[in-house]
Amino acid sequence: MKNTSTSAAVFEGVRHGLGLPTVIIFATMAGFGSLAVETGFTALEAALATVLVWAMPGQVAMAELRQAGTETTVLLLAVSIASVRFLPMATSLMTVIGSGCGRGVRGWGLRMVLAHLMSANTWPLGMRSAERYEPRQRAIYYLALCLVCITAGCLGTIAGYHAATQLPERLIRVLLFINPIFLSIMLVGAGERSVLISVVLGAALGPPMHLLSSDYGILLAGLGGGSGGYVITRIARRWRSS
Amino acid sequence: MSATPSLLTLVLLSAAVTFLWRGLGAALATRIDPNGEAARWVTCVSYAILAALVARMVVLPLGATAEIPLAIRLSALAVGLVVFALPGHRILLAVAAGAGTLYLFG
Repeated sequence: MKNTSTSAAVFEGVRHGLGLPTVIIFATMAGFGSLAVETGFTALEAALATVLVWAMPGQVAMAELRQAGTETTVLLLAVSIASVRFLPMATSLMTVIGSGCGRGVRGWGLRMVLAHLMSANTWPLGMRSAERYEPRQRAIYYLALCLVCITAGCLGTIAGYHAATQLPERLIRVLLFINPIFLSIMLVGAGERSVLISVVLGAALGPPMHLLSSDYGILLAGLGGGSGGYVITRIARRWRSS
Repeated sequence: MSATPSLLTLVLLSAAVTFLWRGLGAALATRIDPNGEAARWVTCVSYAILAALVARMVVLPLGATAEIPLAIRLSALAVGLVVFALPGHRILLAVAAGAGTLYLFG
């Protein structure tokens, strides 16, 4: 029986957000905060960047290229390319939680808000919300989860802006590595066979493709690995049924 | 764009070019059947992109993490995954074990 209580969905979203995702996002955005100091951002501008851009690779590209004096159109192209991955992620997430957003202008507004709040850390949790909730509660759960996370990201940016230079180097390295450990566990725990094959293929293709092209490598690895996982599972399914 | 825009303008422009993909992706979702083959494929690609990104973060990290030897990074990840595989699937414990390994040996 799936949960249909709205308050339970809000409560669980906040609870899931306040655990590891908050720690990870706080630490990651503290890293951006310290980078923003070097680039000449004010603390307010750095916090705005986190809230409005809300994508670590894009934010880092923005700060580093600005510092390097890169031309603005080239800079924006690099920032945009760093976030193309959000297109398939938003599409797949919305096939899971989108119908819970409702119809009309308000429904579209909520979809766009959720698409903005989506991040790599929370995306797997959103995808899995289908196991426990009806569509309406999935959207509410994900909204609550993401609002907690973006708040943590904002606070992390400000904390990093003011304090990151005082933290020991060894601790910063560990904080930065928590993110890949957490994401790996979320991906391995993803369940369905087609997804697991895609994850393994994507992980195997990622580093070599990144060496070939630092702009498009990850995207191409994802397209190749995901298509591979999809096709392999389909062929296996057809074999079994024939 | 010849003049260098202010940092605030730069943030707003960066936000716009980032949201473009998010908004487009969300809009596309209304055009496909949530239980259909297209949705299945897009889900596989999304997971594979994240996996590729994570593998890149572990094998070819940027910044301070790059100073830790590859063998230590891989060991820390392995410890995290093994602890997660134990009965109970404790995520917090698994991440703490992985991070602890990195702190001790990194």
